[in-house]
Amino acid sequence: MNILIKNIKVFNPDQKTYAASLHLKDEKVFKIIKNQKETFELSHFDQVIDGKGLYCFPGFIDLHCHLRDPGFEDCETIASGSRAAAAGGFTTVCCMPNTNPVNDHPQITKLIQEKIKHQAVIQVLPIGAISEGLKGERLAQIGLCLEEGIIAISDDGKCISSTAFMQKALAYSKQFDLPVVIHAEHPDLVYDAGIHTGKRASLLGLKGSPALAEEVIVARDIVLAERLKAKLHIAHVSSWQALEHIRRAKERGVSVTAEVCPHHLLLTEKAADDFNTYAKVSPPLRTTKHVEALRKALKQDVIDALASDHAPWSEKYKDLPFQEAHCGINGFETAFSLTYKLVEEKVLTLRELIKKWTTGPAKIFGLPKPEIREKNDANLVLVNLDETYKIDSKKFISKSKNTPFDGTKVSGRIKYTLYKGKVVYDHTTSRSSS
Amino acid sequence: MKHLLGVKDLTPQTIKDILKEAFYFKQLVEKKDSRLKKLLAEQVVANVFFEPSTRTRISFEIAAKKLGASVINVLESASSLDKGETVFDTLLNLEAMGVDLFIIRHSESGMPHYLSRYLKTPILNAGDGSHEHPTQALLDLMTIVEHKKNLKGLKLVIVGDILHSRVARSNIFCLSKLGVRVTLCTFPTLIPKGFSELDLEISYNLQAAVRDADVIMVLRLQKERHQQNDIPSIKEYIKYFQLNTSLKFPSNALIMHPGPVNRNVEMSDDLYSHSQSVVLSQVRNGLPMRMALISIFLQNRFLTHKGKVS
Repeated sequence: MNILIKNIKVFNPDQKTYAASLHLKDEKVFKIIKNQKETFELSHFDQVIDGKGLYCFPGFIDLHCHLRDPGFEDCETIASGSRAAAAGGFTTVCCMPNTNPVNDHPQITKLIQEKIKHQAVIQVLPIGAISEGLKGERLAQIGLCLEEGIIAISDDGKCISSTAFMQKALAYSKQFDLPVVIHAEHPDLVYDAGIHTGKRASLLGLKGSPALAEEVIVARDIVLAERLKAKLHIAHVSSWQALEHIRRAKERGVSVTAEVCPHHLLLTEKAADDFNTYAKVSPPLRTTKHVEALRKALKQDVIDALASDHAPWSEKYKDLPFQEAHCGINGFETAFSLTYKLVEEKVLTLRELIKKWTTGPAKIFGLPKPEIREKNDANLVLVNLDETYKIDSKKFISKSKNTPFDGTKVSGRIKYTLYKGKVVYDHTTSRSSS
Repeated sequence: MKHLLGVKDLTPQTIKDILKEAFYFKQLVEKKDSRLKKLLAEQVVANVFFEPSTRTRISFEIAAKKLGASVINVLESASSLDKGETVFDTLLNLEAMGVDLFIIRHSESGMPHYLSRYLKTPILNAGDGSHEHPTQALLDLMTIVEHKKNLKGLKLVIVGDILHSRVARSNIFCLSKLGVRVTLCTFPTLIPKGFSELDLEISYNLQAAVRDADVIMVLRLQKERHQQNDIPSIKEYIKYFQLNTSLKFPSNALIMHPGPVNRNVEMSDDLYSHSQSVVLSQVRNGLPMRMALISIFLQNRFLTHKGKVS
């Protein structure tokens, strides 16, 4: 298999952008041709992509998503989810263990790996559970799951309320050097999940989930990780108070990293007015003050990475009265364009944005450095930054359509995604191919 | 507007139009006007209550019957039927059977909003969770207007479990829109988070709050609140926030309570029948107010003026 990408702007996070043509052969970047005058014998190639006006970035990495497989196949599967991820420019995604059954046992990890092998169009790395059944009581079989290829551990969706258990989990995971990913939202303080405790929730007659619920867990787990010298990763940070704890911990040299999601950078609690369940997400959308702080922290590297927290739910779980609806926002196919708004609004430079989707997340989970260079896997995303469009959930490849961003005008269209030298998403046909 | 989901979305003018209509109905009732019985003849009103309530339900039932409508009562307090999906199915079936107006009460905030997205039939919200109880606020307004000439600048003190009270929220929305100054008075743990950002006062001292009050609205205290640690005991609540005759408040202040009163808990017994208490007027006004609302939303018109419900 030979693919030629002609005249594209090659953009590596740590290098100057340059114009080139890329010759991909089999799974790899075979040759980077910087000489613009070079002529090609097009018949030598199985496919030629005109890269005019497009940027080529290393494929994006998503540390945090839910593929719902096994257990909730009506919402997403590894097949549909990996295709949706490809449509969002991702070539590596890490899927959370809150499936049914939970990924807390080597046999389950094995089953998921089997599905990935046969159905995924990109790299999918499973995250194992910290506790059995995500109950926060007994350790999952972390070591044996690691043997089957988990990349990190997390009870995401559930917060571990017991300090003693969390201490044990961090102490145990240390021997494997596995990142422990936390969902910081103390259940004792969460009255109504998915909506920020404050004026707006109160006016709706809901008590919500306060920033304090996040802060107490972030503070506690930083203390534990510091004492135990364990690797802590804080998922979907949403409050300025939590950021202060992370900032100070990093200054002290604690091994703590953090991610933030597009929706927390762009929306406030206002989105949930009129009981809009599409804006019901955990941790919740908060206030402008939190949004501003998150943007600043991303810029200043207090937050290391972006993550979609792709949480597909079908109508069955979302089209319900507010208190009964599930939490979560469908994220893969809107993630890049939404965060590109930060570049348009001059919050981040393009370079900073790309880092947060590539080298930032890679470093947290110890993945190879994403870089477009000869002999590397050809994991690439081709983007037209100038193309403006309206988000239309009806066109999602994901099986679910739950987004509060429907109709939002964005720029930065993903045109092609290539994984291991193969086109896995082509916008012109608007579908991913396996 | 198709449904009455809350007071929050009503304009001051619409509130005034509704009030006018309610006073008109009050007159017709007092005159035993024979036209009332024919107004909604052949119409079917369904009282659908997923939470136990006697007074509100009966008030709606009498109101509908006085207008000549037939009333069916669907009382589903069983937990098997309180999830959104089954509630929705129940109403869809009732709609198919030809119900012309739904009156809905549910323990979840936002339930009528959810149902309103799918039902063609108008809905009157008879109370949803801690969110809104619009008909109560409107009948409270009617009662206040009967005693106070000018609403602008009046001081209303709401005392009690504001955190869980839909009555408090609807009254705050309704009366603030009409220029009433609202003071909330209770323990800090019973003030909803973020309410300090609203245009109202918060007081933790009942005597200081009621000293110059024009209207004192006492809320019902759910007895299980102390089990949830919002208050340490009923006794301690009584000590600090019971309205009783030992407190100094103006002799023309109105004393209100949405009912049912826990006698000698949130309010002392002697105040219940006190000359300044308008608790039974509130109940009385519930009838013409609910008649007016049923008529307005079922027919999508006012009798007292030409406008549509907007």
